[in-house]
Amino acid sequence: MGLMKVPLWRLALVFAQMGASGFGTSMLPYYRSRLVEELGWVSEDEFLRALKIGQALPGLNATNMSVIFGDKLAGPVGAFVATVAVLLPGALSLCAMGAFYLTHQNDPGLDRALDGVAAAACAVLLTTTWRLGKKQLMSPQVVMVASTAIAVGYFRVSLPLALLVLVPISVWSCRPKERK
Amino acid sequence: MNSTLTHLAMVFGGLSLLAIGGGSSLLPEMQSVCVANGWTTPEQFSETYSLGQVAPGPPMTMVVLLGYHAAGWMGALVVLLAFFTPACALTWGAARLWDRFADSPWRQALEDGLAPISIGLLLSGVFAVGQAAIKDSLTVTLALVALVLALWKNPSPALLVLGSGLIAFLGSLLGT
Repeated sequence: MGLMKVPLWRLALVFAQMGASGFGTSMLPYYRSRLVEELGWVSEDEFLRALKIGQALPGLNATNMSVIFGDKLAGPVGAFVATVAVLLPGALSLCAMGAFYLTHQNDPGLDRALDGVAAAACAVLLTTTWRLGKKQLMSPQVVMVASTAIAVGYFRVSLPLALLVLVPISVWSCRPKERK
Repeated sequence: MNSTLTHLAMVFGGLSLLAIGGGSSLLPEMQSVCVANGWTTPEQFSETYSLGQVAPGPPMTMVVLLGYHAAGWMGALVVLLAFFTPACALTWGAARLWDRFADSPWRQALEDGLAPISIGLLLSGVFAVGQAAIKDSLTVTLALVALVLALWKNPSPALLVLGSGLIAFLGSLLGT
């Protein structure tokens, strides 16, 4: 994958624009249509490779991918600039919302509006879980799904401890088959 | 240096590296930690999470508000840096080495093995956020309607969440 020089200001602008107009799970399709289809900065194969890496490594998929694309397009500084740019619009609007919320904290109407927002957000998260996890939920792996959910959700086992125990078991059960 | 800020940096920096399969798998642990340290109440946590759905960009950017709840604007800045720097640095390094391991059979095993755990964590995240958010007949109804719409019509999550907020707001005007 050769280094392609895109001016930093251009990189910042494109990623900031994606950060300002993509929402939630639509971030990744948005990366694709903008970077692969419209700008031609990233090839289809590079996109899929970055998606795989982004999902396999810890962290947010959207920022992991901004690091990979920024690095490809303008080196290490590009990775930094692309990531800051994609996060900045959301971070600033959240700060504005937070400030507004704190000055109107005792407003019953706003309280109720947030209750409504939170209720629907749960439904969205459950839908995402179902879409991402259909394969695991419909196979023997559902045992692993349930063990994790019960340990962390019900017994409140701390995440580092849960991962330390569950990851080796789960990865071992998926170990490569011996080939002759 | 302020001890809350140091604590925030360590907690969110550590969480960043435990986010397998995307940031939402961190929700249950993040909620426990924020509540245990008195940074937010469970309700504030759910509300903050919901604001993340309404703001542009990756929803987990909402960690800035958790930092703000804990220690004001400095808290917001510290959490933002702590939450994104370690995982991004790791990705930057690992992406350059990736192709060397692309064909290793263990890489596939790792992916297959991590998938059910991240789904389990997402489920417990639904539970953690839902416990605080779904508390009366209105929120139960809104959540169910949103669930049906999301599965059936697949609208933009931001629209769904805003619409539900608007209905609850109008309901409160009528109710009082």
